[in-house]
Amino acid sequence: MTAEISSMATNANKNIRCRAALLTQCVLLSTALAWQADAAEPASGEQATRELTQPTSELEVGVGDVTQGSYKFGEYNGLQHEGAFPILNFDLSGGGLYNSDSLERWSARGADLGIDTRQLDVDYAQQGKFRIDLGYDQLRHNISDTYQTPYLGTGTDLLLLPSGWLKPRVPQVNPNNLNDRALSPITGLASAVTTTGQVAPPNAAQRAAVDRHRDRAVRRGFPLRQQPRDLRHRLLRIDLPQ
Amino acid sequence: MLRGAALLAVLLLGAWSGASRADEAVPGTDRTLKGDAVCTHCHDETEAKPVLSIYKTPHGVKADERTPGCQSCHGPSVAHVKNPDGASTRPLVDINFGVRGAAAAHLQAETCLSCHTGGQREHWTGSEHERRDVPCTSCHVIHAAQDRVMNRVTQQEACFTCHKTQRAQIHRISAHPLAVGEMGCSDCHNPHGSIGPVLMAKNSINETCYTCHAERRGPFLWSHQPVQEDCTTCHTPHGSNNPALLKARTPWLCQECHTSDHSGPMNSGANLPGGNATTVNGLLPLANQSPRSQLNARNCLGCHSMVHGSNHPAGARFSK
Repeated sequence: MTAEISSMATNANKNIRCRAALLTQCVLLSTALAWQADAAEPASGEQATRELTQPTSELEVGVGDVTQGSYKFGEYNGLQHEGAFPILNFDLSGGGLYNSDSLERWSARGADLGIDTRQLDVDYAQQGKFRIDLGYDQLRHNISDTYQTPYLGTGTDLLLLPSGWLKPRVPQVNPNNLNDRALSPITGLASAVTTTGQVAPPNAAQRAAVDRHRDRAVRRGFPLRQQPRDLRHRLLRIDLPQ
Repeated sequence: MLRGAALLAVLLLGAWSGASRADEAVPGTDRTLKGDAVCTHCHDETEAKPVLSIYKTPHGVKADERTPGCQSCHGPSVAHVKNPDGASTRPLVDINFGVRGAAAAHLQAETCLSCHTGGQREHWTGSEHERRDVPCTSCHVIHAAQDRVMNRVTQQEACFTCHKTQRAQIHRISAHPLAVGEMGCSDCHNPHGSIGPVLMAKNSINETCYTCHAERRGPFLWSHQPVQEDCTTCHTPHGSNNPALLKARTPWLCQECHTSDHSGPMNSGANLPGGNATTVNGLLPLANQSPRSQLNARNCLGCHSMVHGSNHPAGARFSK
């Protein structure tokens, strides 16, 4: 077993890994095979040591796709609409090696640069002396303002329930005293509450009236529910020769 | 030119000279590469755990005299190195970091705190994690190119290993953007200790919230007392199935304190626009056809939208 650690003092950043994200399956497959062929060759001790001890950089470029728009999916990333979006991430670092006399260390990181939540951070230091860090971070918060309501007359100051709306009715004993069970103040109507205190189920005509109202709302395009879709994010990693 | 120099001066974080604190912590150890070779002779690039990755980190910068060597943190570990009894299983190093089969948590912490004193660790002693014997390496990963807790995306992996309730809460309908990696736990909490409650990053819960939600701080012409007192009176910051991270939905949230007039009874329209302008003994007379707004849409907030406080001259009821 050898544990010779290289004493070369270079400032070069040797390892750069690039990732290219592709959209189609066939191209992804062919490039993946080539990467696997390179990986079949075993790494030497020096190479493995270099990979473990020297700063590495990564670059990720690609295209992503949102297949179905959803407010909830894009709430914090701005991807609420269908369509493609760019992927651009990088993590670069460099400076002196661990075994050199240099205290210089620098890094530049960027994430989600193609969408509205982009982050960028640049850092430079003379370790033990000073460090300068500049950062930019963008955060998005989408708030939905769509809603469903059974009331007619939305947008006005007069909201009315549909005529066929099932309203439990309990007659008032005293017209001037509040009855906590009364959801409608109309007196003189038959009570929906039986003598034992149970609420009577709606009859067929009342159910049909409620169903007609719901069907009208659906035909007008009120969404009954929204389901978020998964983000498709295809990655391909290529190790460049050193 | 001068402006640029002034800007640079503002950005500089200060210069300091570093004594070799690593060697002071463990006398007799060699922090140079020659000293490390005692360990890396065996723990080399073929090690299953990539111990050599520490040389990518600030700990591994040998030109900085403050940085440690292997034995500066793990101790001289003579028994481990020499194995005088020829045991088939070598004795462990003097200070074995980790959780299982490791040195006592306070010994591990003393090793780290011998250099990393002050700053965010000012209140470590007596803090919740310290009292529960959580070692530094329970969260921090030293022998790795990047410590997972220094990145807000991977930071959650460390916290949610234990805090599983919060792991579930961040996936609720209304939550801070932790699940999408736009926030980290350390944006609100200081796990090293704090004088505020629940390891808040600032001195109080409200002060922590105001670092981002400064528009709620005030002072307002008309202030809502529970807002000034504690944001968690109404909100639950890790996640909620109610809108806006509320602990309960309106009107019931408001009814936890407000019971009078039209805020109390579910079907009261007393003194509401469109309702009866007068009440009888505080109760709504019948024959009032106004729809009950308490259960509709945003309920109380439909009118009382400025619940955090208002600067409008007519905003005493937080409706302007």
